[in-house]
Amino acid sequence: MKLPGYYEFCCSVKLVAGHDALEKIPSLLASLGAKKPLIITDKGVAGAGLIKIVTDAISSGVEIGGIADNVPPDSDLKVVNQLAKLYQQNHCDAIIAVGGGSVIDTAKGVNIVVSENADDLMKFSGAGALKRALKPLVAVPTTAGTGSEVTLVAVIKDQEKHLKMAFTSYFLLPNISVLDSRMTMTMPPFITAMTGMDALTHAIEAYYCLQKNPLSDSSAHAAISMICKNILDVTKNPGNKDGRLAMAIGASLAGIAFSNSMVGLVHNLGHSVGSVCGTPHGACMSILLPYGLEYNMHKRRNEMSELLLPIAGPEVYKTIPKDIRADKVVALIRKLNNDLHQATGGRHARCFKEIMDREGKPSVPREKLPDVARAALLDGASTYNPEDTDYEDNLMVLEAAWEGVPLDTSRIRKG
Amino acid sequence: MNLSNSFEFTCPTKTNSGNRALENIPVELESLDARKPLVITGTDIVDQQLIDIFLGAFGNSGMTLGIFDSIGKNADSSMIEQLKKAYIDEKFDSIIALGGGPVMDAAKSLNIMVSLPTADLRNSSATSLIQKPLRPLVYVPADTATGLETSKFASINGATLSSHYFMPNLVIIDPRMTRVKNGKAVFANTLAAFCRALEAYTGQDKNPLTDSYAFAAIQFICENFLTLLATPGDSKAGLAIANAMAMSGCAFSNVEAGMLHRIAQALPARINAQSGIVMSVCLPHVFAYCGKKSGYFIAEALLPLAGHDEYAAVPAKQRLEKTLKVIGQFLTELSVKGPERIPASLTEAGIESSMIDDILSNLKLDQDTQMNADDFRAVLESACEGRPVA
Repeated sequence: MKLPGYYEFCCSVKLVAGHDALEKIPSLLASLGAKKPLIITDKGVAGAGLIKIVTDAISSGVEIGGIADNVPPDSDLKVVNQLAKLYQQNHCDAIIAVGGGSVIDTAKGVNIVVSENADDLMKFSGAGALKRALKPLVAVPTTAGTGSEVTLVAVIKDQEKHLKMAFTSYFLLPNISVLDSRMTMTMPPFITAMTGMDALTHAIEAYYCLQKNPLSDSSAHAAISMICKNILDVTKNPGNKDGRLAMAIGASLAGIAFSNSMVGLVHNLGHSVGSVCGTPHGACMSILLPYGLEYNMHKRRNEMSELLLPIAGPEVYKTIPKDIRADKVVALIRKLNNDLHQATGGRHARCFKEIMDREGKPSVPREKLPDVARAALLDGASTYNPEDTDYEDNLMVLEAAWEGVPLDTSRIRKG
Repeated sequence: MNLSNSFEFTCPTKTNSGNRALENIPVELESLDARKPLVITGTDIVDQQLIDIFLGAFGNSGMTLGIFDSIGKNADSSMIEQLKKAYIDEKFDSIIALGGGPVMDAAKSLNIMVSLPTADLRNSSATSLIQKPLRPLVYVPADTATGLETSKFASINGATLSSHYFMPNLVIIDPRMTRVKNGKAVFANTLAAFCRALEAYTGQDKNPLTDSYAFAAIQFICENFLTLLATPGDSKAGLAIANAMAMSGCAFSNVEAGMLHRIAQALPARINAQSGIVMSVCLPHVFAYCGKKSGYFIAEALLPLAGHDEYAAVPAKQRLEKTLKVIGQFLTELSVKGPERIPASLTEAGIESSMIDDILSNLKLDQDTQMNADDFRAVLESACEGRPVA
């Protein structure tokens, strides 16, 4: 195991996992001195019946200080300030965030406002603005994907000013993340596939990008193994409880890995496709993952070869000669995308031209690729990619990923 | 791993490891809202030269430090009372423990006392009063680390207190501090960390997070321990071993003590059971026994012990046998090349088989559902004779 000249690693969130982990929330809150939580969620989560499961599990142990289900798909400053008021009016003393990235980010924003007894979140932007522990925050993720339940960032949008603010502080880490299989059980197959591939991408990029370290490595290794063993099965059999729990744990491990090692080209281009075309993040990740591996392989062949073990298991690993293990990894990721495509009746996209928006129009029109390639130059994720990238490189990768053909490795400029 | 079992995992500790890690302390303290740390160390434990390097790292940070350098071989309560008074009178806002063992025990105790002024540490349930994080605690290991500094345990007045709140906010592993001078202590302490990590990785209540820490710890020890014994000044190997020690404490804090640790704790005090030497004597016997029971994951340890290729090359059915063989060979090599020999049996270490009944009575077996007295007896008998478990 490689010990870098210098590294940092931190995951101070307490993880509580199980098929009945929700029931532990009251005693976990009590251990933090809290007994009246505000539940923050969105309409989708509430509509799927998940809030009822949460309240049934905890209402005998705590007084619920309110349920707010109006978090929009993109976190919104106005909603943050409004929920903070609700928290204060109802004399709550903790927050339970039930949902995906936007809900958890919103809850982190609310927590800043209520802990500092302020009226506006924006007073706390900038490094070092947070100086002490906030109110207890419990995150209950409902998508096994983003990893926001273990990260210290909150991205809040000021819709009026069209500005995204990223708050970063150790004090923003949830105190506790509760991973319960019931929270992802009703996720439709294509979302299961997409969010699962999002998590797998976090872990794989964490394992081969520049800022990897021993603990991000072992978290990533475990995440990859758990996700690859279960993703296809839970997509086909949504009721597989153990598989659901393994995916949720895998996604958190992947979140721990990538938030401590940073990510590279796949996230770099994926963020840009998302911001230019509005394409879901998870779809971009699953499409771009094989290309990130191909593009960087000449620099990271050893690391990528090691990935064959958690992806395919020892029986496959030992039969593949060492010098082609990394290529096998790429082939298996493509096969996995293909299998997920089949298992979701074609809804899991394998290349950008296959993604349609809600009106059935192409989500990523080919003529937008130059804009995406340019936008990617401004995204910080490229810093940690093993091989350098410029506009031409970005465009080459995007075009191959649009068409769904392997990268022409002779065109990669090896720096 | 059986996912039908639920688990909880917590490790509040951030790790900064590597070149010039010490220089990051002021920034890290600031992000924890601390600006005036009290440094606790002991000149018996840490060389004055290292204390000077440490202080030099604060260079032009503008931070005011208090330094208490008189921690001896054990942390006692009167000294901690004295520290508490100084901490409160001088308005310190954080604690840095420089060096291992009793230094960190004192720092953990002090942290409870200044965060919860009413706590009485003579009462072992004092930790149950803690409901929120204590003051920021930074741990800087030197070569006298035991590996338990990052754990949830603190040894105070001969008793062991336990709370996740004892775990430091930050561990700063800097190669200037971890360069090995005291080879004998490092040998025993690294063996203990190895046993701790292996037991966490193979035990019934392991989880994917304890696996992460234990996996990295085992690999670092396997890859660097012999190098360190051959070249004690090797700063890279010293850094890797210091990392492994810190990781082992974290993994160990999130699992129940397994058979190996329970045996070690039940041995007569004069054996110095925590030293790692005696645990290493028992390790092959405990693992051979547990490997035949269901619910243990001994065979899986082959991956961190031997690496990807060797793990995959061994058929699943032969993995247990291979794991035991690799551990046996590693211990034999360590025994030959280390500063002291690892005894071949418990008897050689001073435990006669006639003492087994006494040891069993120390074990509080009524609480144990997994292993009964016969199980422990079988392992102890085999460890006394020094032969593999039949």
